[in-house]
Amino acid sequence: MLKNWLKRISATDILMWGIGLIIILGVVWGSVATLSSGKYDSAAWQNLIVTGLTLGSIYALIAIGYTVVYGILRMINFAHSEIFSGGPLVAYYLARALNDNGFLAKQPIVGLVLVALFSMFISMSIAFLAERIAYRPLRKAPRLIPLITAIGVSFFLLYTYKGLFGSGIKDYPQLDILKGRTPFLGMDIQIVYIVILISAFVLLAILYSIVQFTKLGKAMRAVSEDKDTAALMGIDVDQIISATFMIGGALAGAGGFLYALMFHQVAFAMGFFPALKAFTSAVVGGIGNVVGAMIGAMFLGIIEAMGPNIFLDGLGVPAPNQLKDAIAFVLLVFILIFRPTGILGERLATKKA
Amino acid sequence: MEKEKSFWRIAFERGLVAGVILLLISLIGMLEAFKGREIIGGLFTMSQVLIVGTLYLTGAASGKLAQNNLRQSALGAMLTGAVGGFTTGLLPIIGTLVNLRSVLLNASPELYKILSFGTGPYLGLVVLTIVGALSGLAAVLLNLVKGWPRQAINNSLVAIIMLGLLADLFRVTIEQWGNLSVLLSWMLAIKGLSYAGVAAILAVTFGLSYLKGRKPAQAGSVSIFQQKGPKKYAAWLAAGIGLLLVPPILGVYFSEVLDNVGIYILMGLGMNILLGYTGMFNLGFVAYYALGAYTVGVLTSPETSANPIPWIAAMPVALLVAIIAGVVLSIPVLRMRGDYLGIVTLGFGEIIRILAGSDLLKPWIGGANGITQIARPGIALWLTKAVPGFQIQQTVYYVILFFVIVGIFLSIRLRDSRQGRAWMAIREDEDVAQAMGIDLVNVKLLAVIVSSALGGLAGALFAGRLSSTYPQSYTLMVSLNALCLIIVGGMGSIPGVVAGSLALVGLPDLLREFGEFRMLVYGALLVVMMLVKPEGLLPAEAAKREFHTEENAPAAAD
Repeated sequence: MLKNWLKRISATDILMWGIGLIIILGVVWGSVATLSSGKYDSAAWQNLIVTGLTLGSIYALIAIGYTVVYGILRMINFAHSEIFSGGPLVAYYLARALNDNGFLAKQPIVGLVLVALFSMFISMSIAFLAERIAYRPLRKAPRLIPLITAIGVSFFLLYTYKGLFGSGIKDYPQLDILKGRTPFLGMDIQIVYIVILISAFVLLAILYSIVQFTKLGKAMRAVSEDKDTAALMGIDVDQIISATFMIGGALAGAGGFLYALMFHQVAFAMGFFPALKAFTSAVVGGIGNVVGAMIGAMFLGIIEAMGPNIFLDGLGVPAPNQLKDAIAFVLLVFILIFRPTGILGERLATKKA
Repeated sequence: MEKEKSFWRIAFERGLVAGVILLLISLIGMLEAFKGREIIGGLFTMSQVLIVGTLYLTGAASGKLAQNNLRQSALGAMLTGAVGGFTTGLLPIIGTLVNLRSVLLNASPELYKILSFGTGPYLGLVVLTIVGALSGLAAVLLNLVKGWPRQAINNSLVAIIMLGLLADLFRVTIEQWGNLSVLLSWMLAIKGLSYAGVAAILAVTFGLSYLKGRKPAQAGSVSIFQQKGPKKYAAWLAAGIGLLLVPPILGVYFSEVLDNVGIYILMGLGMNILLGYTGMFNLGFVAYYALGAYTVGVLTSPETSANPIPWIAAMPVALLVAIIAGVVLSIPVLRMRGDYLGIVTLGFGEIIRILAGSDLLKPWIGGANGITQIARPGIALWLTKAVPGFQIQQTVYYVILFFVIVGIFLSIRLRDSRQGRAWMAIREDEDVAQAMGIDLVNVKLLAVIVSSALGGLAGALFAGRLSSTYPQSYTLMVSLNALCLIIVGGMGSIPGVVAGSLALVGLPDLLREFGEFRMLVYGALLVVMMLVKPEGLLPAEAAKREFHTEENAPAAAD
């Protein structure tokens, strides 16, 4: 038994496990050092966890777009980062206009919902157009080609935003009702975070019921299972793919709006890191799996919020928050080494397509 | 009847597309940026070339739909052009009625002036529509010209636009020739080309096309470099001497641009081995480049090293570091599918950049301040002293040229070796390759080793050329640049890498205004290339067949 196992193992396996072990040791060492120093009290912990969950819920909204598109087309939609940022970037002008004429102060809730819907609509349209113009003609091309196209779309959109709206950072109007903190479930939490968490969960629930209980969702699942058979069953595959992109785009637009609420600002290049982390979440949860993407996103959000302060600080790294963005990548590599299927996924990462 | 109706509809829709394209390039600021570039002095600017060119090309595309019927074709092209012009012409009118500028930064009065050819918004709408219709008509009429005159018209248009765009540089270059500059200075006006210059270009292009068109087509398209006998050696010798003479003739600025091109050729060759030969997607190529540059920096700069060593001694270490990093970073992901590999390597590239700029490694590699006082290649320094008037950019050129030639030689030999064939077998089908007895991991690792070495070499040259290195230089853009140039040139094609670098790195460096729109154009280029010509402009033999067959298609489906 052991002999067989030894025979199968190769030098690369050993190296991979070695890298993994070093990372685990580092994390454990750092965490123990921080925890034993007693630097953080329970309120600080609560804060970190809530921040992590809030970030995670935004990542989840973005990750859905990656995972449903991957599920159907087996393609990483590289342009999703710009689909995500396009919505809030354009909706900023609506928010500003509503703020300037006083509507946002008088009717804050209606105003916010309007801006959110507009942001979703814009992202949805961008996703629809990208699929229609760039991806659809390449449906039957060798697999590298749609990926390269997606990278091209991503950069084209990114620099179109820069050209149209300028490269400056735009400050989203801040509303009084979203300022301050309030007790919630026995904790003292910022109101914005509660709003973000609740809206994200509502949207995710809506998405889940669309996928599980509607005719459209059934068709989507059928197409992702087998396009040709689905077509034989009378499903319009092109239409379903369009719908998938639009749903992913709308959720990304909502995520972008919530992101703007959380950080109060938007910029043309804001999409890159959140989207990459959302992609990481999708992989962590098992790409192609909707629930997995949500779980993965929460997991990543918490790790990212707590990571720098727990294990990097404990390891004595100076200015640990500079390395915040690197954590997601390390996690991505880690997952791909040890569990390429993700938490809930089937084995897609290697050689299905 | 049915068919005719659909033709007009298509022509109309194409006109709308042309309008949208024009509106986009207006609103992102491209038209305004090019307004100062006069192609022919005092006559027209690059902005006008962009407007007319877009309408002309879409008009030509519509005209081609009805090739047999000249009247229909001309009317269709005019319709497309007019619709495009009209759509674009609406922008100045809307802009004067509503304040667009609070949202769209580039919707300025200056832009409206360009769009209406200086006539004001309402008259401008009419003018633009007419200009559009005339461009469409011109496109169809020009299409009637066949044979060598057609070739001559195309060539002269391209030559006039290119030379006109580069007129400023042209002037700087010939000025440093001293008294000899009189030979060519009459071709230039105060801005752009002079009428005499245009006439000269026309005479030359028409003359050449006439001579070429009169000769019967011989020996197909075999270039002189591939022919047998002494002719071939003479051609290679001439090309070699030409390359050596570039720095003294073209001057400092061109040499600097070519240095950059050379560095990207090396990176493109490395990327080509991964993507073009082995089919491995790598978006973190910048990691090797950064490691090469930083290794040279750390070892040779007195800031970071107690006893700095010369560049030539640090360069092999840089290659080694890049190779080790390449191998260590690749082993975990070698079993991944292509697109996963892309994202994971992108992550690696970002990690390297974040680490380089962080406080964590600041004591060793300078953090956000980077490293300065890096040693330059010794031979370049010696040449700078030995030849009076030579700048460092001109002497580094020779060092880079040497390594580019080594890199190209290496690439060709590897491609034609057993290893190269194994790479291509993996690119075509991993499972079959494995069944044929190819050790996937080892063969892929060799590709990673060679390409990371080339990336590290490019980085070492980059650091040695600038004598400094900063973390901001190693963004995703570098990888994307390298990716784009091999896609445009043609995956797996070495001439494609060279041509791609010249076109995508050299040209934007020469045109300052273009710099801002570089990434936008790259993005659009990637999409358009994939949709229209996925094998690239100078494709490798195998790729020509590969990208247009049905057998490879189901790979995406599953």
